[in-house]
Amino acid sequence: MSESGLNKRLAQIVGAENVSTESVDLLCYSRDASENVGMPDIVVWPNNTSQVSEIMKLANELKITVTPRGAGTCLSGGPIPTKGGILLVMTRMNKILEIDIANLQVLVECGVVWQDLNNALTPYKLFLPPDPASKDACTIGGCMAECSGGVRAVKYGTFRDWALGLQVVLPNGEIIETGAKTRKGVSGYDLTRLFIGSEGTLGVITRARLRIFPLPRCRLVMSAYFDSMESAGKAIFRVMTSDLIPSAAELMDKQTVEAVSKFMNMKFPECIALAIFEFDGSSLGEVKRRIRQARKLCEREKATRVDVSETVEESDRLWRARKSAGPALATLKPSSMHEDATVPTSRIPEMLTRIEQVAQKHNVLIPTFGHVGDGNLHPIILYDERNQDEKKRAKAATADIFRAAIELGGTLSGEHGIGLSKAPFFSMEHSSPETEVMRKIKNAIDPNNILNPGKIWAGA
Amino acid sequence: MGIKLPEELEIEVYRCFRCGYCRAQCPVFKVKQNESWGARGRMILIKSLIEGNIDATSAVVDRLYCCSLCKACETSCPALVRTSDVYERVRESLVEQKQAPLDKHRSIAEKILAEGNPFGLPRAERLSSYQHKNPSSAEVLYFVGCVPSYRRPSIVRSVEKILAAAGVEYTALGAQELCCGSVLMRTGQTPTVKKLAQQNTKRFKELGVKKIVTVCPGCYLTLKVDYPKFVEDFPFEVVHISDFINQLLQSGKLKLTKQVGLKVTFHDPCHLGRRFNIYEPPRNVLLSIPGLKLVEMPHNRENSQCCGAGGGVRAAFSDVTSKIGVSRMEEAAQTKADLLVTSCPFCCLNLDEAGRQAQLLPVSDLTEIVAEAL
Repeated sequence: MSESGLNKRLAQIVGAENVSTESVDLLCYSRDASENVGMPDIVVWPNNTSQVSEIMKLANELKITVTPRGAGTCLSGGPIPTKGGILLVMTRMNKILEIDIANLQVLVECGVVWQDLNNALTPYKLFLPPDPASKDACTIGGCMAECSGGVRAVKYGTFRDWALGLQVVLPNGEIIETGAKTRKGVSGYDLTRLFIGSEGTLGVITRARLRIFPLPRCRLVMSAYFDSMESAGKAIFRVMTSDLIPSAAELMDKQTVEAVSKFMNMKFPECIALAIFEFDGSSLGEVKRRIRQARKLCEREKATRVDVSETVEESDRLWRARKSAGPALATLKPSSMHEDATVPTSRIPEMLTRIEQVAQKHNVLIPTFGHVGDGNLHPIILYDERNQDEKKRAKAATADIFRAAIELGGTLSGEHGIGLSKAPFFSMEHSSPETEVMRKIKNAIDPNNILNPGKIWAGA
Repeated sequence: MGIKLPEELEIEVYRCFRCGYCRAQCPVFKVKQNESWGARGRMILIKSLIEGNIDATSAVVDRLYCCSLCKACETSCPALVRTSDVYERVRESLVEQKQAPLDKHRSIAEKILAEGNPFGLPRAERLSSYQHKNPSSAEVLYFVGCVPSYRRPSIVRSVEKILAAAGVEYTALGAQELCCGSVLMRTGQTPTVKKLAQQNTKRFKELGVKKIVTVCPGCYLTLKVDYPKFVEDFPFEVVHISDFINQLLQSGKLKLTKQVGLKVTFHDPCHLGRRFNIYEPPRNVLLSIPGLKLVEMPHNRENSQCCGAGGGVRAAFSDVTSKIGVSRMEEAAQTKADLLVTSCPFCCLNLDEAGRQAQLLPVSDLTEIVAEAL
């Protein structure tokens, strides 16, 4: 079918105003927050599930590839069309359909923005705990497809842990509902979890039913400074294996602390590592008791200084510092790759050492911070993309970091997904039989390979 | 043909790592819901122009001009990219290469050159709103601005009343006042601004002025930040009227005595708020009015939502401006305020129109409500 013929058929489904082949639009939809690029042939904005179904039927009939996209905040190239085709922008399906307080759950369309959902829940003193950094912009559909995490995943888990069910449009246009409205459910294969984290390769997630949770009445933050990575690592290990259950456990290395200090104009005590813990709970007394114990554990591991933020403002100030880590580091070089290689928590100190060695070997700057409590580090590889040699070294360093994570029993991605960025390294982590099982599942659901091809494993 | 930016701004473009956090802020994106019309899309287009991968077609130029330079994207940008500085310089570069401005903006420049105002109305009509028909020497100069002069004369009368009540000796340029050039500065037509800057500055000097008071944040920005770049010697203190009135109230020179029993909400103009962090002075002034109650909209101060008019958007993309304006007025209506007050004649004009269109609350400039309380 000619391009204009396809354009017409799609316009019949969604309306002409919801289809574009303008080159400016195609260019702006060729990128996400990763380094990947891929130009779609046509951008389509569906408004409801039946339109998505019609689009998929048409694409399947014509064997045209379809790449679903939420807000495009992805850090691994998930929404990048590798083979042109249709780019399916899901952001106009943005209605909160149901807030079911009695059953502590919500039903939302995929294009609802995380922050909008949580704003709607706040009056009921409820929240959806996984909190990706892109929460002001990212959509729930994108979070499901990528299985996003965030700072509080250490206590509350990732999106996978909050999903009860999904509405999914399959590559042939059929609409299925997975899961159940119940908290428990073992009725057949867990299709919900199959689609979560499938990065838009198996189906288009159009609705999600999610558990929600009572908002903790108070949160306090503690910062602990250390003069060696080893003692920071030990202190974190002690806190994580105690019964204190922090709602966040973050680490910033010396380079990061220095960059943040300069960037935010904040003074920090001299240190090699800064650990930030958050504790939440239903009463201030109880949270303070846990924080006192955590303080003791850090001091026992030779923390040079421990500060507790007594007020919300102080806590916010520390969180702003932590959240500015990425941008603060980005001021050191114009380009950066944000990785999320994750290792078992006990291997964190080794992983930090390995990252340092990689930085030296390739002569690139790799400051590191991240969700140390769940082993999810964010080494930031800094370079100038206009300098070809440096770009090459940065890429080589990235590969070595992946290798290190796998050797330490970890995984390529904690929360950003494999997408395009890590597809070449997929076989480093997964054996051929494993990948073959995935291929077979993909082939059973999408025999024509029209849905988001080229992602997750090389040659997909 | 690509564009070339100075190194310090080119780096800003490369520092944008397309995280997309600005989607939640950009007022144009909120209306269009299309990446190419948002802050991230503009940065992608600019990078492609720099690298020579695309031409500045009319579709590209439209996207780069459909931005009110409100700086909302900058408040959410984790990399603190100076987007509005980049956009202004890109527009200038496009004009240099004769690929811009848009027709509407070119026509504004022609009108300013012909009649000294962006509406192309007769130069002599400026006079009608002035007490100062013959400019005299004084330390304080009241820079009236084109919107109050031609579109909202009640602002001019209000300012005159306030200055008289406070016993401020001042002068004004009368029919000799020329448009400050703000709209041309924002649309990349810098050489014309330079001419206007030279002519206006010459007159300021002739009158022995030391302090210039502006009502319009656009004039404020242009005189304070841009003029010093274009004239060698610009020894004037530029003050915005909200700051000026606040100082008069604090020093006791101005007293507001009349009850104004209204519940009002305040709209922060982008060129005053996010550009200069002037958030509290207009609020202090409002709270000095007896009987007045101030309620805030959810988007206030640094998070204020643009009215949609600035940066040349109202002239060239009136449909976008109108939608943004109506959405801001809907937010204002939700506060149940009787009146929206702002301290920018252009926001005032635009939001008043949007309010009428959607049959929502009325809109006043800060000076108008202060004059009522005298």
